[in-house]
Amino acid sequence: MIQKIKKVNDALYIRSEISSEMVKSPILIVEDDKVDAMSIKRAFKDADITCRLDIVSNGEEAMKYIKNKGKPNPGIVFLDLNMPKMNGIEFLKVANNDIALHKIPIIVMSTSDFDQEKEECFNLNASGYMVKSIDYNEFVELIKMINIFWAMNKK
Amino acid sequence: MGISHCFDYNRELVPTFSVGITKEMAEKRFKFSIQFKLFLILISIVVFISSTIVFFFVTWTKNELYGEIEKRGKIEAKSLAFDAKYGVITEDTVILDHFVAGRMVKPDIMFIVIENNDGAVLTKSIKEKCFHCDELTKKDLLVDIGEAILEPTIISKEGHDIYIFAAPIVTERSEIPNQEKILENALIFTDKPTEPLQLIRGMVYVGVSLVNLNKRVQDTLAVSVLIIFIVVIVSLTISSYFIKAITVPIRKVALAANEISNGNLAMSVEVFSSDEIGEMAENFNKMTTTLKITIDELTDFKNKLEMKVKKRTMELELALRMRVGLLKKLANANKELESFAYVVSHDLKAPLRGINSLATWIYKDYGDKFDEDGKEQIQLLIGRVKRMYNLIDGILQYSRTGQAREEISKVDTNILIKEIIDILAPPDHIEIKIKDKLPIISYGKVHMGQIFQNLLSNAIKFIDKPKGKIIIGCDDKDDYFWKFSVTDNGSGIDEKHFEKIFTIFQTLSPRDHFESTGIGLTVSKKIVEIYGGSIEVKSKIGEGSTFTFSVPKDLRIKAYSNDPKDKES
Repeated sequence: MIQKIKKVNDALYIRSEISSEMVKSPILIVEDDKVDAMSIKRAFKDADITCRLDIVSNGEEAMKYIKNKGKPNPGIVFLDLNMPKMNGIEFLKVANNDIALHKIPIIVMSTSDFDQEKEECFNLNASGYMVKSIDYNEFVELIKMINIFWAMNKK
Repeated sequence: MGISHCFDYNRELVPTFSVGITKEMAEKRFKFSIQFKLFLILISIVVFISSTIVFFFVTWTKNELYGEIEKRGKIEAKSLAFDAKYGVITEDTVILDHFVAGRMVKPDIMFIVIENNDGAVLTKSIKEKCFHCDELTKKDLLVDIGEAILEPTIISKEGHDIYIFAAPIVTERSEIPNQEKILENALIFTDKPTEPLQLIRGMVYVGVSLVNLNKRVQDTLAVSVLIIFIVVIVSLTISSYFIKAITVPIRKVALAANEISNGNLAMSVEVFSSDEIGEMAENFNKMTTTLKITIDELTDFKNKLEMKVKKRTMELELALRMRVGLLKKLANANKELESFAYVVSHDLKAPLRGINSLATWIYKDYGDKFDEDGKEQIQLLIGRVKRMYNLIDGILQYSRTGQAREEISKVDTNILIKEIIDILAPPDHIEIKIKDKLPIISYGKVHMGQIFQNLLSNAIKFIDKPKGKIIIGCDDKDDYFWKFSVTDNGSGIDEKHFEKIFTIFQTLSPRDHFESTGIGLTVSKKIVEIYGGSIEVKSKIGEGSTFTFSVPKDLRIKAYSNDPKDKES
């Protein structure tokens, strides 16, 4: 594990050098699982985060979304790893090679809590790593914690 | 192979000895060895013995000759004194000259002097070649004697080649014609008055030359030296033959040994003497033969060994290739297992999470529309989904045990256990005690933590008394193993289940009482076994259980055999 990674709790890891800052909307969620996407939406609502959420279902679409000049860049990206077409790791690789995307924090959401996986993501400059909990309420708590860290809901 | 190879082999055996000694060098060496020494000793002995013999012989001869001369001189002087008796009395020089001339014919008589009792020379004869005789016949020389000479005596001076014998001319009284004259001139002496008187009438001096004697002595010496010379030469000739008879075979053997040391094992020594040297040469030949046979055998053995080694090497190579193949297969299997674990963690867990979320939302959003049965059913659904999720987690955890790379480091188990107790946060009614001073061990920290965490959480989970007590101990009396133990006063386990509890997904209590996967003990057992240790349980129902696990103190004794690093290399 890279030393700069801060373990917030068992399910949340954040790159410690990132300072908490206001994240402007919209928030981009890259998630192919419909239920998971619903969970996130619901969790944001339950966590009283009112900013706009845009959901895309894979890495390619996320790239398209970001490269679209008509829309503002997302303030933060929640990225699922296991996706068709372009998966999370591939997306991270592309984003890592694109300097323009470096200032957008990317938080990885994954089912796995393998150290190997976490290491790979942080090596590709992910800003955070979140283990998807089976318990919806725990998930809401995680989102709240992320919110505290990045202050997402201050619109 | 064969003989030539055998020589090479021999060279390899004695490289330092064979290199640098050529045949010529060896011969040079021998020149000053035994032959020379024997020669020297023999000559010394011969020369010494013959010199001693000659010395004694010459001395003896000389003494004999001198004795003879003395005897003859005395006789000569005495007989002359007898013959000259009347001549002296009558002072008839003609007769005296006659007697003297008769004696002077003898070659070694150099001079004769006869004098009367008054010391007057009556006759005197000197050979011409006598150089010192004048001097010797001087009266003062004779007077020097100082004593009356009654018997023939040697009176000589050192440095002269002449012995001088003196004899008195004695007459008895009856022989004296003129009594008065006797009383006037003669020196009268007598031992007994009754004995007839003896009168000394004069003296005879005879000079006998030693030249002949000396010459004879010299001749003897010369002959002796010649004999010595001959003896030495003869003995040298003979001894050289004998020495050769001794040294030549030795030299042959030595040369042969040198040849053999150079690798020429076909060399044999031809010595026909039947003495010790012959025996030595024979034994040497035997030795050579034996050596040759031995070396041949060795060569043969070596060849066989080489063949065997080649065969073994090939077998080993084959085995190695097979091993590499197996290792590759194993590595592939491991990778497959990993990807399986990945698939399980993502693809199986994701839908479960969805079901769970949906069920939760249904319960939350529409719960008020369900009756009590419906509510219970949806709670059971959520519970079963969670159990499924936990089981999948268990499979993952188990399959990852021993695969995760763990660095060996110094682990202070006192600190480790305190950390684990903090994480577990046991309820207030349970007291956890550390009985012994726990050791610092060289192990994978995460692995050790997993074992203790599983055992402790298990203990906490099954405490059914109002006052729970858990004791952690470590017995280090064994030389090779640490023996850690976790004892609780929980519900205890029936002996028939002792093996079962370490099997995957076995839990003894109904799952609805304890939501446990039953993976903890299985994982602990697997970790302990990875380190070459063992785990066991002792328990009494209602009283509590003791889990004891032993792990080696020194990991080098039991290699970390299931280490994935080993598998990959």
